[in-house]
Amino acid sequence: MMKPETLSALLMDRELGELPPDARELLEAYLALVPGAQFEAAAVARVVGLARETVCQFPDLSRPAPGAGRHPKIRPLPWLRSGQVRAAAVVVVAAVAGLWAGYQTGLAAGASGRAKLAYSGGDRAPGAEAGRPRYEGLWTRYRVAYDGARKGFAVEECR
Amino acid sequence: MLAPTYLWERMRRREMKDVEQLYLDSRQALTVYFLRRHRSAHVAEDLLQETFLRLIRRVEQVRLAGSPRGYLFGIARHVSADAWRRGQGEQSDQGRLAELEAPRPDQRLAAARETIAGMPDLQREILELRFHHDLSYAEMAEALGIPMGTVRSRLHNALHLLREQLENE
Repeated sequence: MMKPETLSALLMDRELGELPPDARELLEAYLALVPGAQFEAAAVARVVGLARETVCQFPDLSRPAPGAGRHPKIRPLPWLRSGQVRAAAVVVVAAVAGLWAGYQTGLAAGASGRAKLAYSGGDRAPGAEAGRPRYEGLWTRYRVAYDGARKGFAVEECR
Repeated sequence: MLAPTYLWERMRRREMKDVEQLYLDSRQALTVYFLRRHRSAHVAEDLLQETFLRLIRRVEQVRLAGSPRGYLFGIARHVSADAWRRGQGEQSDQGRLAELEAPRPDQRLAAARETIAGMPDLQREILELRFHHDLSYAEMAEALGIPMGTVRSRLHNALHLLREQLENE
């Protein structure tokens, strides 16, 4: 079953001659199969006929409202102004640049100057060697690494 | 190889023929368009001439337009809006106006008229272009400078409003 709003929209397109031939054929077949849809089709035809008759009979409806000039441009997102878009774009670019810089710095820091702080798992003493850390970055002060051989996590401070 | 000037001349002649044909096909429709908006045969004639003058100045763009007829109506729309801004909006002309005046409307039409009169300008204009000038969605989109989806949704919304009014009677 088609949603009522979808059916209504398609029927309007059909009344206005805007449906492509294949879509029109499918819609006609649907109307033949679903009796309730034919009432909807009749209602849409009445409305379109009324609109046509009214517009043709009242020429004053075509005149612009007093003081109207050009029509305003349609904006898909009226709450977004160009200044806001620019500011948002600057913030996004700065954030991406910061992320990239942080990642690169973290990579460049390598494995030097780390102090091992803690170790979880088993009965190993703190300071045991840990595997390669998983999280790297400029803002990362501590790194957590899992040592598969010893089955535990090590927390080390980055310097 | 043909000289560029000759090619240009041939192109211009072809474009001018297109404009001439467009003028012949659209003259009546545009006259009615201006008459309805300005209620004066004299003003309508002036605005019709101005529309085609502007079209001739932009003749190369007619070929690029999605719909030449829609493009022409777009120019007519701007010409009409400019006339309103210059204060040449309406000069009542009883002669031609009599052809456009409605016979005594019935209740149903009067109510529909009120509903349409209360709609935003753009929606009324879309109804006018569709039901009086028979422009398609694509032509209206070209004339109004808005996406076709917007034309479709505005027109559907207008018809829904009218339907609510019909069902409330």
